[in-house]
Amino acid sequence: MRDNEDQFEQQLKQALDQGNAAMDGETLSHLRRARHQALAAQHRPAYANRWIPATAMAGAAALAVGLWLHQPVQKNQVLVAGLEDIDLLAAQEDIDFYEELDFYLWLESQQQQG
Amino acid sequence: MTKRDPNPALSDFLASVEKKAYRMAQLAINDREEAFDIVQDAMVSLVKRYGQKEPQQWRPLFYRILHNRIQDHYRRAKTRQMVFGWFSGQQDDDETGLLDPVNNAADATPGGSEQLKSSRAVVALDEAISQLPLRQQQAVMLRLWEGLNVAETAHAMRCSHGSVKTHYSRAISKLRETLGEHWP
Repeated sequence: MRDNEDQFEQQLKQALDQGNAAMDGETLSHLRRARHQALAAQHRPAYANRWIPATAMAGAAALAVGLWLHQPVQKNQVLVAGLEDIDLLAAQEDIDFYEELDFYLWLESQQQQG
Repeated sequence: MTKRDPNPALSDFLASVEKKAYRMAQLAINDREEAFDIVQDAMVSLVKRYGQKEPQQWRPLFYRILHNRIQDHYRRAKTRQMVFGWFSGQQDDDETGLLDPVNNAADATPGGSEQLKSSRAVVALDEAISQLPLRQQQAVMLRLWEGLNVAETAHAMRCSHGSVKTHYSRAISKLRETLGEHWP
């Protein structure tokens, strides 16, 4: 049974690899450009970008509060929509703040396992 | 005269993951241009924030960033779908992804019988993967294809080790069920 599973998984992997090998030139060229642009961004200052998540978060919070205060009818629906927006807009900030911390925790757990 | 990469190791790393990253994004969101944007965004983020870290840390960090971006896109698309669905009062059946992957693969790239069989297998698999729930897709792509271990996959997916195993197991069962004896 386990052998069958392994064989199936191996076939999946091979098919995925084949799909990559058959990637067209236009796609490859697009990816190459994306890589070069990313590398060029390494030395570009990003001061302005730092404020975008915080500003968006503050804006979304103000919008949600405003909607909540001025929409007594169907209040629940509006509030839920507002809170979903906050969640979406906060996603970037969440990454900024916690990604690195999580990574160190993960590294520590890797070391403990090793 | 060719332009030298300021960080050849980082350039090599990005070159090694770009194709897989693009296909992961493309299969997850089914939008070519958005997939390019997500991959480039993940590359920029890795380069800017983690370019100075040890090279062996780049892979799990890159896939974590990539899958965060994919999830963000997915959430926004779901919200848009809900809003437009609410206004139009109907759901677009094409967006539910209820296609038969094997039938859909019938007109794949022409060629010799072995090549045709192989092309059909790839198309059928892509279709079957794109129909999986996002978390199951991620588990298969990261564990099986990229070869990350459970801890690295859990880190990239932001979930527990147990969740990774559950998503992975369900995904493999579903793929076996969908592709069945027609595949490869």
